[in-house]
Amino acid sequence: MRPATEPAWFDRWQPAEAWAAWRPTATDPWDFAQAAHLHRRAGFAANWESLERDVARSPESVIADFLPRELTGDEQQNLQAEQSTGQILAVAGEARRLSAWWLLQMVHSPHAATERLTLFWHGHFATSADKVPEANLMWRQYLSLRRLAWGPFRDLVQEIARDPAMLIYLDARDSRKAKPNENFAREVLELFCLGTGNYTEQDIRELARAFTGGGIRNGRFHDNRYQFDDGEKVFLEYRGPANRAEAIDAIVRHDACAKFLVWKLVRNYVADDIPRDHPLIEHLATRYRQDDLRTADLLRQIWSSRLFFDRDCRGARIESPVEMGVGLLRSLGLSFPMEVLADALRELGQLPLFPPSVKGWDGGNQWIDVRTAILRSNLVHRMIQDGRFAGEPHLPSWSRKDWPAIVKELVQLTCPQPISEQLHQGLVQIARDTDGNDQQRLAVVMGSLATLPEFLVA
Amino acid sequence: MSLRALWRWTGRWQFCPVFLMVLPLFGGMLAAANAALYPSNALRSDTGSQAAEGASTPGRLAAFFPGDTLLYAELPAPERLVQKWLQHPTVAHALELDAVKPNLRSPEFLAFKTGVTLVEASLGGTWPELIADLGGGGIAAAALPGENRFVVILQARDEARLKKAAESLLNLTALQARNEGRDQPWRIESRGAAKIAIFDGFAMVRSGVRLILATRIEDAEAVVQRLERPEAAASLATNPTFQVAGPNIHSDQADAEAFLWVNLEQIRAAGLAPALNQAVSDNPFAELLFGGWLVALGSNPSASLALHLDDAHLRIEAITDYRPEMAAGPRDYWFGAAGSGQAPRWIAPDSIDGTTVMQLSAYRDLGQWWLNKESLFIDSVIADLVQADSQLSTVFGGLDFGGEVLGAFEPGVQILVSGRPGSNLDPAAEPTAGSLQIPGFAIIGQLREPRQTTRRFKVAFQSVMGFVNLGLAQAGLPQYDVDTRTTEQGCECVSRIWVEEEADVQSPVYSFSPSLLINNGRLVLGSDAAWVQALADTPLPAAAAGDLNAATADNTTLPAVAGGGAAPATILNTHLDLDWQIVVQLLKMNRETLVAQNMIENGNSRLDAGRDIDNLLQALELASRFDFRLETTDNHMRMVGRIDWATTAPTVITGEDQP
Repeated sequence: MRPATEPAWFDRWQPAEAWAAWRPTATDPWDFAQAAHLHRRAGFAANWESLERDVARSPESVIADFLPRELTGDEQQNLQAEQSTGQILAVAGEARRLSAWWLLQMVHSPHAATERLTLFWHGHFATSADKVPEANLMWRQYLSLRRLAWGPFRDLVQEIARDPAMLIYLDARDSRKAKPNENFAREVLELFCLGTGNYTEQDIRELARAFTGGGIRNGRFHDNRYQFDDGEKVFLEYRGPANRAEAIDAIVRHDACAKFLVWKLVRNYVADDIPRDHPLIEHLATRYRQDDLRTADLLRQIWSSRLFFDRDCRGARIESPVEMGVGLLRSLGLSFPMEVLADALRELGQLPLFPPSVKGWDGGNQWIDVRTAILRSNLVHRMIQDGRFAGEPHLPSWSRKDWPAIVKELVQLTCPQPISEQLHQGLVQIARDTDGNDQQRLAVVMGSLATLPEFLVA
Repeated sequence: MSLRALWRWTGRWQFCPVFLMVLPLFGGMLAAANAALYPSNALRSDTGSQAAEGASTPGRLAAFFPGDTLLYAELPAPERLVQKWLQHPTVAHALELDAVKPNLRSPEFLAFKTGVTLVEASLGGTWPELIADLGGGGIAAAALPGENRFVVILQARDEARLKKAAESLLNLTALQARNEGRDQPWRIESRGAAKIAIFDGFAMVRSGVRLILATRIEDAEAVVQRLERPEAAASLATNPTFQVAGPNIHSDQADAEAFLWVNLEQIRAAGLAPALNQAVSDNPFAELLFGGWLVALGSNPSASLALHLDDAHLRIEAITDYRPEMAAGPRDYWFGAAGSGQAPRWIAPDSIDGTTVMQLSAYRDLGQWWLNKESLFIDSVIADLVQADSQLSTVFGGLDFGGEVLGAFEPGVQILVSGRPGSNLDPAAEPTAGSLQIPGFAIIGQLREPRQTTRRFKVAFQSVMGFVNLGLAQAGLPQYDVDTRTTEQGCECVSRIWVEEEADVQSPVYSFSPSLLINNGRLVLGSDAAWVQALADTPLPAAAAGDLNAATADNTTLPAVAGGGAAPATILNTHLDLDWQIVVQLLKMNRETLVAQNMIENGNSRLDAGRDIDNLLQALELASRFDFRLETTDNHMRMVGRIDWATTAPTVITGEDQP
């Protein structure tokens, strides 16, 4: 990784230029690699045919597909069917299987960007089924995150502040006037809206009073007006008798809120290591505030920007385990038992619905160490060895069994940057030296490719 | 000799010419494939009459096996079995299944087809012809005491063809060995008049119209000696147990397509099946269902099994001895006094609404079963039951669960499952797509002293529903509104889900409205209020309760309810009747759940998972009904299972067709 003292690739950009819309040129064209980059970041990767199809379109129209749009009749019908499946698992109380179901959604969803953004918000408003015993509550939280993912952010926080799973997770379902629970108030300020350094302990105590009276009845949020502290509260720039909703409104109006969220979203979609106080963040935060914290507008600007399509942006994030697992299934057209994948992802540190703490997943460098690097390689090998292709792997050279070409296509599909000729030859040799059928060869080649740094980044 | 050893033994042969050659002779499974190989009837037109002439009763080949044989299996008329199978309408339906058709074009099947063609070419005939000529006199296999001891005998109709087959077998094996650069894989040794081909792993000898294959040379030699001098050595046919309880124990043995005899005494002595040496059970429900058979298999010298197949049914009948002392011990709860326990039929399922999926009727004295637990189960199960006894006694207001609760019932229990899912939904709350469709359940019993015990059960029901409501409240689910009242005939306790505000209508809890009705001593406890009411109001069948035993002469059809009079020769102890067509309907109603299960387990897309499930549902439609009986007579116990085949081809299912 880059030493802290060295300038980063994004440091050479002036904010206004960086976030301006990218226009393809002869020397910087909209090509297969850029299309793969967009899919890898905005969604969960795509197969060869989809990428070729998208290269023939304009980047604007491809980006528009990632943004919230009216689903077609078939897509809507499929989504309802998928969600009824999720509901069945939720009603049956099977959180682990619900997690496997969500992974399957990420693989097959007609709108992968929504699932990816929902996963981001799930990490942001981290709630674990390990502590919330009713899978049904986790299911309802998932639906809320999905429904409100594209903003405005205010609506999302309002919903989360009344979400039973969150209240159970943060022990905030019994906050009384006489003994306000500060836990939830602290997390709202620190983890959900403002970030550290933008509030005081006094703000937390005052805010906790605004959240009193909230509880759960029959699995739903319930306001107990007898336990609500209706006195005056003073926090941040607010003074008044705020209730839960008014307090949330006051917090999201704070200047630090937009900046904090932009920073987290840019980390998620552009670069892991961008600092919170970077001028690029401040510039975008101003726009986000003007747009009333509408996340869809913010993401359109990020995905359309010159910074996003900077060649150095490719590989500037370490791929999370879910992005890696789901991306592999999507890019190769592979089916694999989802519960097995879920177990493996838990080993790798990222199982949806089971974040490790209220801070969610740290991401970035935390994803990779010696143990997880080996586990990733083994998982990739196993997914291809034991998985089932719909017909054949979606690679143009597969039918010819032209291994030098196949390896090249695999790298184009799964790595953001090319690999050296020496590594390419090495992988081809591995394919030739491997006994067994073609799928077993592919498994060994991909397992080897998965050990390279080029595969671990996105 | 264990099943594992049997598999290892066959595994060594699976890819060698010998196995390839012998394989078609065990026709059954291959016959279906052959229907694809030979779309028209592959059998010669005269095979039916030949089969009739050659029809043989099972056990003819037993004279060539040793008296201490552990397992003896026989296809008395393989030709007839293959003919029936090839012409069977269900096989034709199966070959049209969406799941089967692509497999008939798969590389694996084409390779198999090539192998069969190779064998046919070398022996000069289609495989059905080969079965008729090489196995027409019967095929028998036996497992003998000791490690890796198996013997197979084929009795041919055409000696010349058998001779050619044996020679081809040797030639094929030698050819394959040469191609693989190996030495000659067999040698010929003379043993008396016989010449035995010794392979690496087994021996083969032909004697007249018979071909013997054995895993040990000595066993092959012994068979030859019995063939030559049948009077000189003891054989299975002279084994007194086999004589008494062999094939002849089955009344319709001449029609049996397959026959199996198990030497329980030898198996127990050799310790091959530890469960048979165990006087107690480790599974309370298995004990409850099969307790009488567990004691029989643990003490009887042998058991035999026969399989019958016709266009309408597949029937398997197992028979073993019944002795009065079996019913004298703790299994009295299962057999009844002197083995007289009869399955009750307090309610005839057909009289309700025509949606009954399953009915199980059994003679069981549940109070005695519970009280005798120390004699029936292993220690860990007893400990669990003692703990359960304490908890259940609390639920029942301090009553002794075994003696006062279960003991309050007359022996006998009837369980019904209805294909009509819960009708207790609020009419305004329509179930949405994907909601679980759970069938209705009811259990019926007869109280010994209704006047004394009705109120006891009413209070217990109220207590249980109180516990249930507490659990539902903790889970944030709507609770039950329980109505109870005492009537002149007994009591009515009905529960219905009470929806106060917005609630999750997809919760399975909506499929249940547990209710208890007691009507003149008949207790009905079920999952659906309206259905329970209908069951409780159903008049008793014309004949007295507790008699399902007017079995028809051939025991293949459902018995009618018998009147009083002398004790019947056959006592029906347990009867399970499953309407498979309604089961499939229920599964179709829950298709979404099954698809979800498949998607998660296999990572399939919805389309692929839907196709897998539809293929499965289509395959299940091949059968229409399942009937299972446990019966006793003065001397025997019979277990009869029968599958009725569907008369129509399975429907083509698409996602759009689903309810």
